[in-house]
Amino acid sequence: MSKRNFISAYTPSNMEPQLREDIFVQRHKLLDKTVKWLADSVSGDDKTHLLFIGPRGCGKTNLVSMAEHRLSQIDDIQEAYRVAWLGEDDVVTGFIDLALAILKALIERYPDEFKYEILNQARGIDPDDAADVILKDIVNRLGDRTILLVLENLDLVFRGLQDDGQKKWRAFLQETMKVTTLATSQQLFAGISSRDAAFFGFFDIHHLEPLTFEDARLLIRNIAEQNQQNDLVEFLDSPTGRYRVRALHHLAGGNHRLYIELSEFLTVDSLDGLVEALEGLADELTPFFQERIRSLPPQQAKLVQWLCDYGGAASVKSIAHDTFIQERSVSKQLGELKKKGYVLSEKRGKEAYFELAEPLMRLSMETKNQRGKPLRLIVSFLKVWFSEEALSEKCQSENTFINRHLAGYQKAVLAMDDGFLKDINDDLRVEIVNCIKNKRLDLAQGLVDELPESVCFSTLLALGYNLLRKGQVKGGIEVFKLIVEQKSFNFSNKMMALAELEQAYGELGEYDKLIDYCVEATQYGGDNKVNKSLLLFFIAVLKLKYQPLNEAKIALSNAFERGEDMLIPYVIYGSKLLHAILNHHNETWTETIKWLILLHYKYNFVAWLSSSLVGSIGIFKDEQLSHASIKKWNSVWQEQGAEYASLSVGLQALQAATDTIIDGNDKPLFKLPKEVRELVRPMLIGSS
Amino acid sequence: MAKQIGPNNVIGRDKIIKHLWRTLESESVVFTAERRIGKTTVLKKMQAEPVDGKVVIYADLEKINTAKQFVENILNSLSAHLTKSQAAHNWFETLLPKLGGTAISGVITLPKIEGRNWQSLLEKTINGVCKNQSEQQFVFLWDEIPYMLQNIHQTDLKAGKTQSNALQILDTLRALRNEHPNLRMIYTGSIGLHHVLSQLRDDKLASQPTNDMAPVEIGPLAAVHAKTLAKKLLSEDDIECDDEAAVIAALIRLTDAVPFYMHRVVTALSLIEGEIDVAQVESQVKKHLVISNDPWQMEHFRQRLPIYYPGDIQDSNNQPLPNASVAKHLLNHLALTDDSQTINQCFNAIKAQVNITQRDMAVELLGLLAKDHYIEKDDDGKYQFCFALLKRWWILAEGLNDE
Repeated sequence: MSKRNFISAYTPSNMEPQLREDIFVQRHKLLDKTVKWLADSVSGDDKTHLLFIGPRGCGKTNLVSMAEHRLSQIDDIQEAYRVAWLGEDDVVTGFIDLALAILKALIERYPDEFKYEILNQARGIDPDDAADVILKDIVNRLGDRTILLVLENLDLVFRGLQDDGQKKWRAFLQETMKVTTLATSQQLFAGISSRDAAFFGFFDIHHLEPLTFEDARLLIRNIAEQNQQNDLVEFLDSPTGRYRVRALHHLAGGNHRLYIELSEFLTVDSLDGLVEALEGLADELTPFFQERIRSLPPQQAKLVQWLCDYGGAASVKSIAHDTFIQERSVSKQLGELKKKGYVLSEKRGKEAYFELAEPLMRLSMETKNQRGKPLRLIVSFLKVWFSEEALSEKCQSENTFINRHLAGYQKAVLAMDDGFLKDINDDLRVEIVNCIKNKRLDLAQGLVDELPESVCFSTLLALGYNLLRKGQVKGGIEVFKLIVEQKSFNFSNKMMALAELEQAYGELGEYDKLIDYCVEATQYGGDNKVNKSLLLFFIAVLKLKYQPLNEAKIALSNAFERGEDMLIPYVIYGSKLLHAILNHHNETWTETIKWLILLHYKYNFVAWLSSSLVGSIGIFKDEQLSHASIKKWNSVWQEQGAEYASLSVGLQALQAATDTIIDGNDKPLFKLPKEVRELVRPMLIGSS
Repeated sequence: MAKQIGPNNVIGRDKIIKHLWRTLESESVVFTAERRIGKTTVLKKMQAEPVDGKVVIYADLEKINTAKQFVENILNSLSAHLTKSQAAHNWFETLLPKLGGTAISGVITLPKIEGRNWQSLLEKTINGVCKNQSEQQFVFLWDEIPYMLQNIHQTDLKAGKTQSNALQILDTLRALRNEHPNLRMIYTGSIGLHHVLSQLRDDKLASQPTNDMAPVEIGPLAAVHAKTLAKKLLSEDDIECDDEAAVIAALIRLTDAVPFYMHRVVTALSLIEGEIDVAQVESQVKKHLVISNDPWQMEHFRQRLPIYYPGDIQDSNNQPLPNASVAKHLLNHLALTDDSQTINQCFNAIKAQVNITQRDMAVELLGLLAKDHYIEKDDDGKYQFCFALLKRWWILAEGLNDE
């Protein structure tokens, strides 16, 4: 049984410090720097004031907790500072509250050094004077030390302090130079960002970036490792696991807390389990999101509500059109919402498109008005989680449990267009292309595994063509090789990539390398007999085309010898084989064709050689062969094949085709049976 | 990184401090600069390292809302200094009851003061200390005094008072300066004192409460000190550069050698993995100038134009033309010129944009823009942007050309 550690999504400061270190992702450098800045500040003359800004649940408290803990492990500075960590829910309504909160925090942590006695003297006087008295007492007791003031939700503290309290606080900081601040806020606010504000430029502000997909996967993986959930760790490294994390990524919007909550769903495979879990989460979060929307000014709340209903990204113009709010106001309010972390924007041309920063807000708002209908975001999510086939199967296999509610989801998933499946696939495609461009084929390989093959193959093929077209032949070769080497790909797609490789290597004149690679590629065909035979035959054809005849003959013999199922390869490559022989010098034809017929005879393939001979007639037109060459080619075949009855149809067709070309009319074709004639005639159109 | 700099760690301000001390020998000072240039850092260093025989008292006055609080602040500041000598301490102990003040845990408060009575308390305090300690020179470093004046003015307005206590404080302090040769003051603050005075006077009163004071302006660091600071910052943050000299040069050039911006850019650089090159410095500066949350609040320079330059003039068609709009045209012109411009060049440029004939108005606006640190006048009387950084932002924000 796996050991579960206490991982808190809401109060990371209550977690074991080592556990926090073990699961920490993304912000290592910022944390290292923060600790250094704080250490320098508490032990030196300069005083640092750090402020981390990010939306709720983005890991601010965790970062602060880790920084404070790491600082506490630096032995030689411990006497240089005292920590006053104000509670996240401490209500500050004025300067006096801030002074009291600091005093309380210091006394709780250092009861021998700081005392409540000063309050006896401060009572009964003007609150601002009392604050001065309290702070003066703290400074006296502090001696040469510095206060490390940890303040969460600085925006709320500043709101409580109001302009007057902020100025008093700044004056205290300036006059005493005794405080180092480590603060967090959900958003920028005028008290620090306006040049008119007392604290403008005072804080060293760091905006915390949301988790990227890879960071998120690592976070969940780290948690799983700590909980010894080895199956989950393995699953997270698998293409399916990675793909599912991408689906979570669309729901969580880069929010640490939500990943921790959502990671529980990763291995849920049953439709009812997943729907129940997601609806449960939406239900739980609804009051929280409702409160967030309610806290907004009415026009901003209306815009958020509209974006919840809309479900995607929209331009200012379209939002203004639908909401009957003037474009200028929409633009201004969306700007405010962006600062507050409610929306994200992306520019396309001159227009900016806005969407909700937290998709779960949409889910929760939809929950309110669900009335038994499937929730759109969950439908979109299920579309990523299960393929259509899997969903249909699931519904059948879970039929005993399926109720009308689940059936509604199934119907909705099957009926919907791609939803965010398209976004995920598009993101993946971009990532793959970028990896290839940056020569990170190892990374690209992992990403390719995640995408559905049809999407991925077309992406890679298009990229390969594109690179070849731009003259970046080596890049193109890498892309086509990626297709060949992709375990999950259909073999016919791999063969298509090999054909493209032939073109690409051809441009470089590096046929030997091509053939070596094809030999190497036999390992990517798996155990399938047809695949193996296809490759062997393909190699033989390549050798016939580009290497001396004796080596080619060995390869073709080898293909017949080792190929366990030659029928399909022969159908595909038979004509190409003859085409390759035709391209060799005509003095080699007699010996080669004789050998070829014997080889086919040995493996009982003469009848198929006959078919290939019919199929190869089109080469005359393609190669624009001279009449002399055509005559010679025909005569060698007639001489060498005369005694093989199974070759007679092919020989007749070749003779008739040759006569038609030489005579300049199609009368000779009438000697052929109708079905053969119908095959040959189109191949001769345009031949002279 | 941006932080409060300890007096021992201040770089490149010795010359201006020396100049301030020398000026203070004969007169008090109005110390000006745009925000975040380092005024407070200079004052704190002066406080920490006073020249012989001077009692230096630093106070951040933005917290003061009433004249009474201002007197209390002076008493509290003096108390900390006067307790160092027994005689002075004893004298101070006798002063406090005369003023009706009480001390709680070392914090002095005064009883409620009616009307203008604060003035006599202020005079008694300053007169008392200057006379009683006549062998010493007292230097008050008053930071954020414009904020205090605004606060007091607001408090008075709320209380329905018609007379300006704020102006009265300045006039009283001027009179005290004249009376006591051992009393000096430095006024400074984030917003220009001239704006606050104009607001307090409502352009009616002729009070000139600072015309006995020498204006001293602090600018960016000199090249040599900027280089020292840049080196120090890079080293403190363990930043490795592919070409340190080039990175330092770029850092100084792109931040106009303003320590605040240098700190900010170095902090951002310190979070980048690997070696730093000039392109990364450029990219960080550009990022700070164009990212949507405007971390350096450059927008403020544009938004405050109508506040700083209110009112209209009549154009040649007798149509109202906002002063702020003319100021913007002037700035747009200067943003697009590589060389500094004469008054005539500026005037001709705005005439091409608006129907304006009053040259005097352009001259006055150029002077005000210089006072507010948008632009500066060189030795030939020509104008240009004070800071290349602001100029660059202005071009981007106004879309004056493509960058």
